Amino acid sequence: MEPKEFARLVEPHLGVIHRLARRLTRTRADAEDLAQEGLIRAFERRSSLRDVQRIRGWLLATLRNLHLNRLRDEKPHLLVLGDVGETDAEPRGDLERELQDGVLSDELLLGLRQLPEEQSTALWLRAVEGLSYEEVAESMGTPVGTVRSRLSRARAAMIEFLSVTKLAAGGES
Amino acid sequence: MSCPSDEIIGEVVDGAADSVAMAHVERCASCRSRASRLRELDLALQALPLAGEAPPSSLAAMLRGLVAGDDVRSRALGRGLESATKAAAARAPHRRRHGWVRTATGLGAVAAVAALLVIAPVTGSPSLALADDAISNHLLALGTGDGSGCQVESEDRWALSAWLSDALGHEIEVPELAGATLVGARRCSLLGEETAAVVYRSGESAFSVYLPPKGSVAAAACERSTGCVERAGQTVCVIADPAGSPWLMVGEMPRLDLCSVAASG
Repeated sequence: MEPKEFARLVEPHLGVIHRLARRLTRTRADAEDLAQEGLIRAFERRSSLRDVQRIRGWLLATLRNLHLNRLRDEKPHLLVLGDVGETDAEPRGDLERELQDGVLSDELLLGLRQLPEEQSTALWLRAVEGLSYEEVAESMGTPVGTVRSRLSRARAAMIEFLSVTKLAAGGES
Repeated sequence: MSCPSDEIIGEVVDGAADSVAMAHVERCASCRSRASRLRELDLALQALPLAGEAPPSSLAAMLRGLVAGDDVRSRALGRGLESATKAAAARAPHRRRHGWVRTATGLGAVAAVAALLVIAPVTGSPSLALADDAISNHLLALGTGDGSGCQVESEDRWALSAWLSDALGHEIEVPELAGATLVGARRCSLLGEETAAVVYRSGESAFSVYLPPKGSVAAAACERSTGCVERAGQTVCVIADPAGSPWLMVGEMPRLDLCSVAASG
């Protein structure tokens, strides 16, 4: 593939590349580094792209694999977060209203961060970026059935996390 | 058909279920409610600021550079090497150990009241997600390693400012708080983004001050709420800084005491 053709095909997907890089990393600088290195790697391996119709999934797979390889190569240096306390309380009833009102953005971000990476990425790509199951599967190098179950677990975990968080909020002044 | 599994309900929401499942959800109030909740979750995720974030111009410039045959790889690798060097420096800081000095400073009630007048809650408490994240981080840090909660220990605010700036890759100025003594600093994560944390002591209490970078998710969360919240025995206060991003303070201290210390800065 000619470089110009590669650029023409990739340009519409810079946004999704950037946002996935932001989701996978912890700082804007790291996200920028990851996205740029991902683009370079995709460019160098563009001959391996068999079907240009599937370029979005292929680009995202390149980016995610690069990120996972980097993680394997370096020991974590950030302090890992733990739970403040356990609660076995049942969900409160107004979660849906709070979701509709958009007042849970901090909780959503924290909930996403607490999911396993493969679940949060699947949920992000499907729910936010609007990828099909097949594209998510391609991006993550997994069968479509695995994507379905990851999505289901991710959504259930998010609903539970948000419900418990809002219940806890109900007990605070 | 009996009520389908969560996975099938998810497929209905995604428009990927078969017609039998779709028809069931149409008829069944309970399943409609389950699907509705998932739809609302998706919509809330789509409304996150990050969901609408445009890529930086540098990414398009990189693409143009690739087409033009520029040596973008060496530039990117050079930047990566610089980051790695900084990260290595951050992981192996020079540690100067010192013991906890357990002297009570005794904050005056008059000062506390005066401080509250300055930084009393304005628009509501910090969100519980932000507060819980900060508390988790604070408690975990104090319970790790030597118990100081620091990666580097120093009472010199300029030394800590330099270390944090180097470790996190942006300018950080450690606040000077007359009502507290500096212990050290660490890099940590707040709402998923890397943030500087500075540890102080006041009397027998240690508290953390988080300095989220401007434009970060944590900074935005702080900007949405000024004030204090008490959770799990800890007090969390957002402190507005007219000259920059707000701070977040966390400690096992009464709200008044924490506010007094903040006001001494």
